[in-house]
Amino acid sequence: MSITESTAKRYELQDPDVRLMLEVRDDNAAAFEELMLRYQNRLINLMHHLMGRRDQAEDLAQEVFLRVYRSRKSYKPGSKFSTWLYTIANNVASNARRSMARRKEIHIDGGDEGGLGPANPLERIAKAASGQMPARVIDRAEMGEVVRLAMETLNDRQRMAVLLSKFEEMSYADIATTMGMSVEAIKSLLSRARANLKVALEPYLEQGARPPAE
Amino acid sequence: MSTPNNDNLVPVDDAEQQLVAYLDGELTDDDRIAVEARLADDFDYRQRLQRLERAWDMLDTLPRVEASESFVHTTVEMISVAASQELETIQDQQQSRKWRVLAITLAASLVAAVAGFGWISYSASSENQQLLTELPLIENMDKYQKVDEVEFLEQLRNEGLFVSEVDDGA
Repeated sequence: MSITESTAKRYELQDPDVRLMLEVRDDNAAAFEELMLRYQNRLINLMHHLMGRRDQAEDLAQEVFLRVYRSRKSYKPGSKFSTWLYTIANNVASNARRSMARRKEIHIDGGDEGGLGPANPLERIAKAASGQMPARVIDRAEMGEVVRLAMETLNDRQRMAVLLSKFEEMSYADIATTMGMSVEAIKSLLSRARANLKVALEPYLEQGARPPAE
Repeated sequence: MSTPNNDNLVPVDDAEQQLVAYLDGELTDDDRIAVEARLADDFDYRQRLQRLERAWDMLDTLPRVEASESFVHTTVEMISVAASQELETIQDQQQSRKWRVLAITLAASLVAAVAGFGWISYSASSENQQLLTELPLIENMDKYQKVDEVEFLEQLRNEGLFVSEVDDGA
């Protein structure tokens, strides 16, 4: 889809990151470094929760920045910079998953956090809940692990949509652009994802266990 | 990472979809007012909202990671390598463009030379052809020049004076 001059101008005025990216287009190395500093942790976290492996998360984030650099000359702002960046990230993650599937290197246990028994995340959550789920305030790390397992019950698209909505606070429209789907499809995807999370975390919700404050 | 294939692990009704969109601030004003009216009247509906909200809040406990100290350094190195490759590609393209221009120039010169040779050959052969056609005239030019009028020559031809010469010429 072609981007009109007025659209490009509007995003340039509204979004400081778009302005930085336009400087990157003009080969300003400092602008690129600034963008990297702004987004590196956000991208690494996204990739970490998406793929389940810390080491891979950094590699994929680097791949995203490399693609940003390579496509700088053709960059024309047709959306917020973050939307454009996460569209690239979504493609990179999809390619990585396809590549992993081809190499049959899928990590059934979810990655570097170590195996916890049953391969099915729902079973693992249930086991964790039955064994250590008295009405107590579990510690944050424990809860984080349970939530991570709950996230594994989601499929790739649901997980991506949840991460963009929760941690990037993106609107349905921006998530739709990022994932190449309609706004209605995102609405449906997110409601299913949240329903799935609710079911996976039901034991904790039932007993009133709350995530501890930081 | 294992991934459930089905988006539909848990059936979601319209009411729940509206609740999620309400929590995400994605409803129109009319829909928002309708949801809030139902929340005020319906205890179960309120419970569903709270469970969705609490499950969502639990995501805050997901471990957060930070880029390693070497991240920026290694990324900048990767970019430098990419920039060098980009430069090499541009130089290669410029070099190959030079060669293309040279090849096109040589080919054009060759075509011009062949065309020129062809044209000159054609011109020369057509001049020879004309000389051959006009050979009888050229051979008798001295005789023809002694005659003042064309009519006189035509009269001689009509009387058959040139028959043997024309036949010889032919």
